Amino acid sequence: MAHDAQNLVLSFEYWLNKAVEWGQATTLESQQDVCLHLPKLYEFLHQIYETLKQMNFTVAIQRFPLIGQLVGRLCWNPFVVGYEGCQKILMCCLCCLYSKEPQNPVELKANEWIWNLLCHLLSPSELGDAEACPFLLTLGYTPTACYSELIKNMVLSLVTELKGNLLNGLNIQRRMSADRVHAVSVLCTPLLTLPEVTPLLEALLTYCDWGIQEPLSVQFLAAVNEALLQKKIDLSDSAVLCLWLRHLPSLEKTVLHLFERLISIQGHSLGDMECIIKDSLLLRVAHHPSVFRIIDEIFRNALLETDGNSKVLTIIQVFTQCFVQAHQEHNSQNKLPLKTYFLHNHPLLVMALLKHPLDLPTALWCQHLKGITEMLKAATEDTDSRSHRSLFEHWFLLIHFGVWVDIAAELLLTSETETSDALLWLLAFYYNPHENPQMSQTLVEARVASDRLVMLSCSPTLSVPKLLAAVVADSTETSTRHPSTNRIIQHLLVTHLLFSSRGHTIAKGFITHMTQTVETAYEVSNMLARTAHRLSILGLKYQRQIKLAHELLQEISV
Amino acid sequence: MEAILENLERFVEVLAVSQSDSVKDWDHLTVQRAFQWCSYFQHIHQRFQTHGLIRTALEDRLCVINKELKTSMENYRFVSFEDLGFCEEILYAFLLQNPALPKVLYEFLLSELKDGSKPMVNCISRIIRLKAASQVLLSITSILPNSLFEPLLLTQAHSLIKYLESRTKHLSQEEQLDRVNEVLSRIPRPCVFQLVSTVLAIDDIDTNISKLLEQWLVEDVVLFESFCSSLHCELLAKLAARNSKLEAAYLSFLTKWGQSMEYDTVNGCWRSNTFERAWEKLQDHFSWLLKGPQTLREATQSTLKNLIAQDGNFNVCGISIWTDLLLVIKGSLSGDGADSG
Repeated sequence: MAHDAQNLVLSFEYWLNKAVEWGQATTLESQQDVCLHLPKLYEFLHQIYETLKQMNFTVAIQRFPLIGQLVGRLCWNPFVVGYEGCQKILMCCLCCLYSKEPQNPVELKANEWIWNLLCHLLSPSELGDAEACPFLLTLGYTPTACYSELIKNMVLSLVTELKGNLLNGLNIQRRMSADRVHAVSVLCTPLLTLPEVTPLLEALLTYCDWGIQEPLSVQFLAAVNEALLQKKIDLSDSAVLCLWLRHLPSLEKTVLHLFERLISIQGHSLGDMECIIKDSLLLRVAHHPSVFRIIDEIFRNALLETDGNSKVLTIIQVFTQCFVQAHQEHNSQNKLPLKTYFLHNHPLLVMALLKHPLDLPTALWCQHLKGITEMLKAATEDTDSRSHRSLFEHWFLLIHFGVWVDIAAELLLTSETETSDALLWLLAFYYNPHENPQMSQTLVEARVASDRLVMLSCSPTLSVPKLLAAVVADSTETSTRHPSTNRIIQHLLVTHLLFSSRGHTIAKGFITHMTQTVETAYEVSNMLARTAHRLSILGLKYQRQIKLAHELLQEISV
Repeated sequence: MEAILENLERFVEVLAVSQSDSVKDWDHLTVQRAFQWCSYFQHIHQRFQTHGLIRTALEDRLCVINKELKTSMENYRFVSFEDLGFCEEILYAFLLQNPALPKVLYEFLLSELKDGSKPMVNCISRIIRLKAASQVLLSITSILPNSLFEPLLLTQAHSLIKYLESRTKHLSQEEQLDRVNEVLSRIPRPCVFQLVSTVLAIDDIDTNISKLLEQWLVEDVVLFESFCSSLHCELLAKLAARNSKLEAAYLSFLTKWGQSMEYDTVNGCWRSNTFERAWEKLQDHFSWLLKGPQTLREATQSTLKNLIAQDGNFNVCGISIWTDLLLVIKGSLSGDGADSG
């Protein structure tokens, strides 16, 4: 605590010196220096405010004898006051220094000083240079109207200069130089959350020169992105695209921000996920191939880092669904075909996976899945392209379209057996995309489990113990099983409970056996939510299953 | 509708009082009610800003109320329809700056600012930041050279147009000119000339305000002379090119100027009795006119030719100022051409 207090005193000196320095010099460099320091200044002022609000004026002045100087100087600096955070916290500090019942002349004087300072901040005087005629600005207009009008014109003049256009037929201006663009971008950083300044942001972001160096300041780009993330500003899609193409860290930050929001969703609702994704700016500009590729790259890393966490799988799947839907709704002449977004894979495979289940008759789903499996098999077994990288690419592609894997699991248990090998292979590949012999072992184990489940679904006397016995025949079997086999069996069990004719009778009783650890409860919930969401898209005939899935989700969360 | 209009009248009066000494009689309840009015009219603004008929009705009523209050109050500030959208912050700023506000109410306003999460903080924040933003943007345009354009002047010109429009509404032609005279006479020179010239340069030439300003300029010869003397020749030539009445007045001003000069035979040059009417300056005026668009150039040339003819068409230096003028300008213009070629 004492250490913190000592630090505050030291920072106080630093910032007071800064404030003096900024007040004396009005060069471009000193103004840029103010702009670059604003976020740090805000942090410091926040600390001061937290201290001030616990004390009265006299104590405050003992603690920080030069507080009036600091606050006063900062209030006179338009760059500081223009920055929303600093402006608000300065107001708060001023109000903390006010004494309701002044006990001595100093406190009286301080109250008067506070009033003067507030009037200074609000009054329309001291605008412009001495030659400018202040008469009209105060000619019966409210200050807000004056400022708005003035800002509008200044923004317009800068925008015109940036675009190099004619202005009102008065001047033909030269286009701004890169240095000047850089300076303007730094200087308008504090103002960027003011709606009146938005046209200037758009013009800066879409400004293009063909030089090698980025003319816009990095702080400016990062601040614009931050304001976008906090929904403090609204920019056109093209400006947002320019921002992210100019500044990759901003794009990465936005993707991570989306990821964080999706992961922190309470419960497993895919509908909630969809809302968040559709609300994100990312979806609006993801049609740009570079942006899509970066997003996909981040997904890829997330998948590798989390070792295929089921929530991450779901996020990728839902994002892809939203992306494909947005692409189809987007009516633009020059939009790229969807398959071009998945350049690492065979176009036919991509096309097959892109097919929406609703666009195919249900009777053809098996054939379609068989086709997908064959293509995947051929691609992964092709000795020329056989490498970890290629294997991963195919698996990663399948993750985007996980909905087909869920359909495969459903068909495996409910339809004829002629395609069951292919369906099982797809399921095994989804959960264990490794080469033989791991994959073969998984296939054998999954085959045993699925056969038993199919047999049970015909049995008229299905019960919890019977179902348990079917999947955990003996303890040696479970202990030597490959972990991915357990995930497949889990998937099949959930499908069995929802789809087999008698599964629903024991579902609630059985689900507790499947969700004994936090981990499995999480996995099962995720799978139920995914299935419920898929079925709600596919139509009314699944009402019973959807209802059951929601009930089971409730059961687990209790 | 009539109820809204009546409420509007009461509310604008409240805003007016909030800037006056009478605010000393306000209590907590009055302030609270005033802020409730604000939220109500912000809502009205939001709802009708794109509704043509209702908006016009509100604007017309505001115009009447403003006019009435202007006559009864000194330093009265106009309330526009746009202002209604931000009336909360306007009221707050009026009250806070009013020294007549009772101490307890002033403290109430301060307490609203003390905690960053209160809604009042956001509303006051906007107005403070707008002022700061104006200063920042002004400093960008002044500190970084290369900006030829003066946004402050342009803003003032736009304000002047808006102001004159609102003040001349529903008046006869004659009354309108009187009103313009009255408004412009309150703006000091040469500021008023810069403003008027900017309005004439940006506004369409056939708008009522442009016509009124042009009339105001050309009707008074002395005024027009000081107008011409205080502005740059380039701007004057631009205005003349846009507006034929100004062109005629400008040329007749220059003619009078030239005719007032005498030839100094000892030094071999044209002289006038004041520094402002120097021979070089007259050249400047004419050369900008001759560099202008074709119609302006032709009008200027024909004026000069007529003047030369009136003086007897002599082709010798020192007899007609116009002959000499044309000679010098032609020389410098072709010199320019040779330089750039």
